[in-house]
Amino acid sequence: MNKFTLLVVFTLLLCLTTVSAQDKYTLSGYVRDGGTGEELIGATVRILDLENTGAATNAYGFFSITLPEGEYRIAVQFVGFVTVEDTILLTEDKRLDFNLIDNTTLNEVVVEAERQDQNVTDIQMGVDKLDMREINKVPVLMGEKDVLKTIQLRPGVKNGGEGTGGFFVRGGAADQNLILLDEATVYNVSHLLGFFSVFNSDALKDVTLYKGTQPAEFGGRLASVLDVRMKDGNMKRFGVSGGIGLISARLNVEGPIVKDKGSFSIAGRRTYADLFLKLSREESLKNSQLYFYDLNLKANYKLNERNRIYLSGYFGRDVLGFQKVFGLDWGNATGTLRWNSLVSEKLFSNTTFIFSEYNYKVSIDFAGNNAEIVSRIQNYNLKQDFQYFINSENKIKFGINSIFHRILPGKLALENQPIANSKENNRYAWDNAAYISHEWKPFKRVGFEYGARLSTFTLVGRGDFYSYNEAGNVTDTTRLGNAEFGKTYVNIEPRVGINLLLSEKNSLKAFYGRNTQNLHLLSNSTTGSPTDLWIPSSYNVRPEISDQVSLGYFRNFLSNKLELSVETYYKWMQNQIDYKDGAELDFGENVESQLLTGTGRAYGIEFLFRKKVGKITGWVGYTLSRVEKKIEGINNDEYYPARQDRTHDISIVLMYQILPRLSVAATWVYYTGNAVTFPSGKYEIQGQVVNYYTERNAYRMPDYHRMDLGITFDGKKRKRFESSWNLSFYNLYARENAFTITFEEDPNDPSKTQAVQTSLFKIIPSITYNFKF
Amino acid sequence: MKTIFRNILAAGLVLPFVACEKVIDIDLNDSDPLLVIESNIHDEGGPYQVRLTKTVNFDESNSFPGVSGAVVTIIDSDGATEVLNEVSPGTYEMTTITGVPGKSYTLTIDVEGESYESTSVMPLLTEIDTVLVEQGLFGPFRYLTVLFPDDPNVENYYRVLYVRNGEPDDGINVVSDMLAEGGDMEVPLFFFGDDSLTTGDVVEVILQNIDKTNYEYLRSLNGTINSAVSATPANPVSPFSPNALGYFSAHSVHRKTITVQ
Repeated sequence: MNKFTLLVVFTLLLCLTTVSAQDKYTLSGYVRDGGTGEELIGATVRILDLENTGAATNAYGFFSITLPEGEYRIAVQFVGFVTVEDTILLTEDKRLDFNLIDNTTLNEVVVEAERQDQNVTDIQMGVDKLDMREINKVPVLMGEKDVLKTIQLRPGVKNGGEGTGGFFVRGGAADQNLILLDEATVYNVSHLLGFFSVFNSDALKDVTLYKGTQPAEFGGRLASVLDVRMKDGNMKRFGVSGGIGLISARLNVEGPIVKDKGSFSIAGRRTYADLFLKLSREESLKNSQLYFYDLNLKANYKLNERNRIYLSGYFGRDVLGFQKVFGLDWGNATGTLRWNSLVSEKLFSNTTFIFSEYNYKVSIDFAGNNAEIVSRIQNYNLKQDFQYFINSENKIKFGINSIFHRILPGKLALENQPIANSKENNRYAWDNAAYISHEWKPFKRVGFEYGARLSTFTLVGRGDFYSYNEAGNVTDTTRLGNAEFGKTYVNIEPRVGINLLLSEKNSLKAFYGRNTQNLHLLSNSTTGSPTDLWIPSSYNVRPEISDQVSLGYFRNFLSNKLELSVETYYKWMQNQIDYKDGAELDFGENVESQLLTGTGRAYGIEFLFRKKVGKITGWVGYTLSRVEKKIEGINNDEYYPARQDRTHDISIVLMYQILPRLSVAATWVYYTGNAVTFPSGKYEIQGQVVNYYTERNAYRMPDYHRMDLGITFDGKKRKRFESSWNLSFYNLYARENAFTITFEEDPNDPSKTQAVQTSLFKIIPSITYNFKF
Repeated sequence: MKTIFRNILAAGLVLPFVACEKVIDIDLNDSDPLLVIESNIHDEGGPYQVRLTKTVNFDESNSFPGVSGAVVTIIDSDGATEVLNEVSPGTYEMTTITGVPGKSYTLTIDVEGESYESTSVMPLLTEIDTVLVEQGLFGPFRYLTVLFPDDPNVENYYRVLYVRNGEPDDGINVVSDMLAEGGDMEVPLFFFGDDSLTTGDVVEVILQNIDKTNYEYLRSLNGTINSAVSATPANPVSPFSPNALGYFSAHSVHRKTITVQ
């Protein structure tokens, strides 16, 4: 942190502290699930006697609110839980923890808690907090409930297409999403080449998506932050839950280490599709492998009332093998060590040390000659975050963050053969950031959140860094010695949000924010692949920068039962990367010579209409948007649609609780096909007909639409044992959506060429059994 | 190797699912016809030809009309010059210039008010040492390994083709010596599925020494042909200035024939 920032922080703290009057006291504490002891994230504590006054719990379930001395009626709420109302006499600083009761554990079905109106009153916009219960009901491929697939049903978030794990937020590319699992970066979210995600829902507690409008504590990616938090584990008693599906089985064990002081959670998942391969008559399939597994581990312990430590980890791997001749395996590993500390009733501190790695290994066997390609990206990350709850009008967040990156683009090793590429040419970089943001409610109906993030990115030796000319030839080499600092990029990222509460029921919000990105993913396939390459900013590749403005209108109807939001955005992007014509992206050291950079722009409008309570719940989302790039050397230097550009995107999700134990969920999605490059002519070379291309991304894939249906039947609740059956149909009306379109010789008339569309799935039924005791 | 890798990846991807294919109608734009140049010179017997054609629209049939009336000139590094004769519409032939390894050749084509030029160097000849028939570790398939020496002091580029029982292979199959600096080159030739190598097959292996420009061209041509899943399908790198489609390749050739036992 530089001196200037420190000074600003200090001055702000000082003047805000002195402002607060003498006869004010602080009410602070945790909000928990009374059944399991898990802290609830984003629960609200509202002061009913004061208009629009309250606090929300942070990522660790902690809240703090400072009020003048007096007697107050308060309401503590969290969606899906029974609201607790209480009257407190505040004559001194008070620590009060709340345990909410899950309303599904009550026998009466509906104890209608007054709906939260956070969507209207929160300053933040472009934020989407997923309800974990919804995730369990939304039908998905093979019955594998999946947070990533569910989040793609929200406006402004587009799925990457069948067979891709990536998603696109407000025109951003898949690598422009920062995906955090307990604060650790997850570099590749795909299992089985993208059909499933690495997130095992059983292990998760909270999922929040920021659509590029994140507060200053997040940084490093342009388009979004997906903040996923793992379950801490049941503090009260041991529990086992699990599920058996068509392709995988899951098991989750959790329980107290010391009752109400510490707990653990272990969740595992493995697919067994490969076991069916063994049954195949085809010899080549018999000797093939195809599976993945996930392991989520977490433990926490309260050292005392003020200090708590958390340790969590994730390990996942995909293994794909073909007759031992070819093998590809890849996976992520993350580890997070956290220390929560209540410095005072008003100051919450979190210190985190994080390790994260993604790697892949390709092995090819030529008659006993083993060739192996290894690639990996790692980071070591130290974070210190503070939240200072000054009073009910002011809250300050500030912190620092230091990340050391280590990237091995690719190492090729041949058995018994020393070759030039076999050295580990690691790339090193050091990433530092400091941030401060201030949430300020100067008037009852006006709130601001403003702040800034200062980020630096420094290349570190050892290594040779090349500069290239237009033709892609090396013009200059910068040689950095061990631990020597090279090129440094410094960026200041201001973020400002404002909420104007027009009435209890509706509000207007506006946001401006800048984001920068120093890690870039190179992928030369439409589907993405585990072997896609991460590269750091360098002498050639500059940091990507985006500036987004957005404006939103939020309105609730029928005492908050219905929500409507309309958000519109415009985003300017600098230093966007695309590939030269015919680019070859391999693990060679000259991969940067294959790149072109330019600018981009994205704009759109998102509508969300949603019902969160009652027998019928669900939402309708619609997005109208465009994203374009302008890059020297492509399409005559004019704006052209980016690959992920889609004009219309509709998703409808309906969930109907027919009987207390029977529910049905249906989803329907429709979107304009992606921009794609098709040939505009053909010619003959060496006796082969070759496609002639004139423009990049000038065509469209056919429109995509699909309906899924899920039926959940809950078994009779016994003492402690709960179970449910889930039957789902993916692609209910068997729409043949285009996965790829290729152009080939017409087999009936070799003088003609035809377009052939490949679709992956027709209707896929699946059944899953879930249990819990 | 890259193609094999990609195919296996694609197979793995689709393996557990039922993929279905159908022919669809796509309305593709028309394009202005562009010149396509296909020209070779090598150290085996001539006559060496230059073929000029044009692109056609996608929905047209695969007949590519020759371009007549061009002035096609070739100059070698010793200064010998020849203006080629048009022997049939769009086909031009050399009669006096010969291909000699180590020499460079410059081809100039003047047509329709534009002048296209490309230079290619014919690399020194590398001879095939051995062609081995090998058994895959698993499964019944057999394949060939082509062994030849590589000069570690020079960047070398090769193309390995074959003619099996009189049927020429239409693959691109280019390799650079990146994998074998200082050592011998080992290039595997695979025969998949129904084309599996069988006893009695007569295979003529053809080793072409090509220059870097043509290696880049052929490599990117391979990308264009196999661009089904590529995010940026594009035309191959043009060795001509100004841009034209096609190539001009000077290469030296060595052949070896084996019979599979």
